[in-house]
Amino acid sequence: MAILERYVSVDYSTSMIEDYFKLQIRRQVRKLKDFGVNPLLGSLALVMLFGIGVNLLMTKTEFGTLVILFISSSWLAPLASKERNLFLKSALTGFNYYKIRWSENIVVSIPMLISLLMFQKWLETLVLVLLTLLFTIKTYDRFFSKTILVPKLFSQFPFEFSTGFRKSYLVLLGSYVILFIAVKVGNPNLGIFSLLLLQIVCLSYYNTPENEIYVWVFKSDAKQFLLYKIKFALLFTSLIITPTAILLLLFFKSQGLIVAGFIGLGYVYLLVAILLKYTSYPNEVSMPKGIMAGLSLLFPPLILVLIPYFYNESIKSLNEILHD
Amino acid sequence: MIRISNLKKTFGENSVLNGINTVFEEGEIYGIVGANGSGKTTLFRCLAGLENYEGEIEYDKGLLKNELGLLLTEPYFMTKITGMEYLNFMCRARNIKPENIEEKNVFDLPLNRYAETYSTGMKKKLALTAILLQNNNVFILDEPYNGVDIQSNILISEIILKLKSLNKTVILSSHIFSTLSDTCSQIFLLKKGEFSNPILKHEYADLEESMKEETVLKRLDKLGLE
Repeated sequence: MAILERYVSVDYSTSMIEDYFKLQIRRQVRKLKDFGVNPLLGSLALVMLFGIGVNLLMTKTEFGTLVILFISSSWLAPLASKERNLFLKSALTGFNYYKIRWSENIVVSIPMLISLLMFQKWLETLVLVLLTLLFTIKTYDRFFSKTILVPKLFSQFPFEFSTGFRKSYLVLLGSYVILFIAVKVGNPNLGIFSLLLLQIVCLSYYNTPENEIYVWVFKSDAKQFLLYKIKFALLFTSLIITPTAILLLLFFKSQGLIVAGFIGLGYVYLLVAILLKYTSYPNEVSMPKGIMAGLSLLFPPLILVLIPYFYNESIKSLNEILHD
Repeated sequence: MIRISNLKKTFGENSVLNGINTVFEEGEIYGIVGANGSGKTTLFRCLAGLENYEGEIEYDKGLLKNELGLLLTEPYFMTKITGMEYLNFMCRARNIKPENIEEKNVFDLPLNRYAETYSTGMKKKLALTAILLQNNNVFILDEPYNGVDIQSNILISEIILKLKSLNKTVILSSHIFSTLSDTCSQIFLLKKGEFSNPILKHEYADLEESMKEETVLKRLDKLGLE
């Protein structure tokens, strides 16, 4: 801990790049602290989780490399946003801007590059190197991008699915491509993966607490508020997954029970995600509660205890804001 | 009617509100003036129930927060939400069916664009439109004129006067004295966490003069400009 603190303390004799990365580390340390975690232990845990996750992806699934490339892109893309790069260009002089952009992209890609090399995925390694270069050269206009149209119902009942849809439409499209491939090659597991991907995306719309005004403004008590959120989450998730579910049942009839099981579990975990988000509201979800939710993925019966527990905690937190 | 009794708020050791007592009546416009950091926003957050506090805030028509239109100095907009969706959201949160929004878009905002891409003034106008669509009975407007163009400032003043005529209560803060003197029936000076006695319309000129003397002239002299 002391080593980490010493490393991130300000030292004006260091180079600009070193200062920049110290600042980034300091930001991550603060995030971990805000999350209620010892930064050193948290960092070690993240490294371990990363190792375990990559190993599982590469050994237990057929499309681990695709997932790795996708995750890497999602880490690299925000760094290449036009707005951010305009700021960096205005703040940094000459070649320093390029040095920083190259360095940070390499730092972000290195864990995945090492993973791909360890599993001897030469072609994918090359693709990731090219992606890293591409995101260094090319910036894109995220902030001022044209409004992406969303299904009318999402727009009429904002905000989780209207904003979430816009942020993740490429993943949603990707899942339909995967489904198409699954049907074409007759691979039910790939089809179920496309369904899972949709469910995870919908669940991700509930992973960050909104600004407190967006809860305060509701004219309802905590229970009504939660029911409102849950009702639209279930409805809109159903809208997104139904086409995939129908096609899976049509083309892989023998897998009907498994598909139904995944859909049911998806709804249950969606409920867990919504309740979890409001347990510590307006603060971020606390680490212990996050771990509990994570454990429920490994041991699903835990959900039976977690749902009432998270519900009560959410009601308590929301009462502080809704007062009704 | 809103009755505030002995309202106190501290942040750690720092006492921001030191026992405010006042009554805000229906159909009146109240101005709050005070230097930056004097506690105006904290007072508004207490009224909205967004802060815990000591003392009492009573509203004779039920739960104040459910009838309160709160316009913050810097309204917050999440990413990838359009102006139209924001208005939809704010109406639905109050169980109001959003209808004829295009027609009620009096500031001519580009509602199909992301709210995050709006200018400061446009953001303020969008947030103001939202609380007007909610049919609130009480309005807290924290610096509504800030960053807004002249034409819209005139419209905002007219809207505030219209709200008064509809028997709504408006509590307003502004750093532009004329905007307060044109609209408010009373002004309170918030200083060291306490309210001054209510200052009535015929005393506004004196108030402006004393504020000028206290906050501008003495400091200007310190600069020693030649």
